[in-house]
Amino acid sequence: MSRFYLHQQIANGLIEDPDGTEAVDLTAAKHEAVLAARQLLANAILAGIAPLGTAFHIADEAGQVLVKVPFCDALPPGFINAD
Amino acid sequence: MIQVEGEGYRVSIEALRNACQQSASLRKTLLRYVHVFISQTSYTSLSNVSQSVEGRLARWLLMCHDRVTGDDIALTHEFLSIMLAVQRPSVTTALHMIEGYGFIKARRSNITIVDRDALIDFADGMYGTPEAEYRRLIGPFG
Repeated sequence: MSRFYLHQQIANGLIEDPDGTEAVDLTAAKHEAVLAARQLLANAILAGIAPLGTAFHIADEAGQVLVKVPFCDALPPGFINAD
Repeated sequence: MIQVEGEGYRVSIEALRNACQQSASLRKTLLRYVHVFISQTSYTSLSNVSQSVEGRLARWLLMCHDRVTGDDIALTHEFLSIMLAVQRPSVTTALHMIEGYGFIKARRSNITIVDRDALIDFADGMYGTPEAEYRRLIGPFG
């Protein structure tokens, strides 16, 4: 298990993840970021507002950003198919 | 479940049952507590289905504030996410928003209540009724 930090990219900076999360590997951490992004998007949609964030920056314990997960990648397949 | 530092009493179930049989006033007080607790639980259900994460978090922070000394609440985002049944980043984001409104200060594993009255308004009626019942039926609170 390793500790990963899901910092959230917002318009004027980052919302830092203070505690991080334990995950078996980066793939598991990415999965967690996708689930979290879905919830943030869903909450924003329910509230009728734009989400604060646009992506998660997944960092390791040294603060190194390993991967970025844009919120649009968290949309279920076929979600934007309206036209 | 103990969430924050505090003091309490421990008594065996059997001793408490005996005491309840012998003391009408103890029985009455505990039943009043049951009433208040069911009321609080009902509000939690209502809050969970009707409020935004920020509103639910505001309510939970007020409930924690009632139960600690001072204005600091030592809870992690992880723990709050379990209590609110949301993903951890939803708590982090909601704290960021509420802090932006000036109601709280959020630091690592610590949240300071800055404007309690504004938090109560923000909780939009989901906080206060069970607490008023406690004061009406049992005693001073918060």
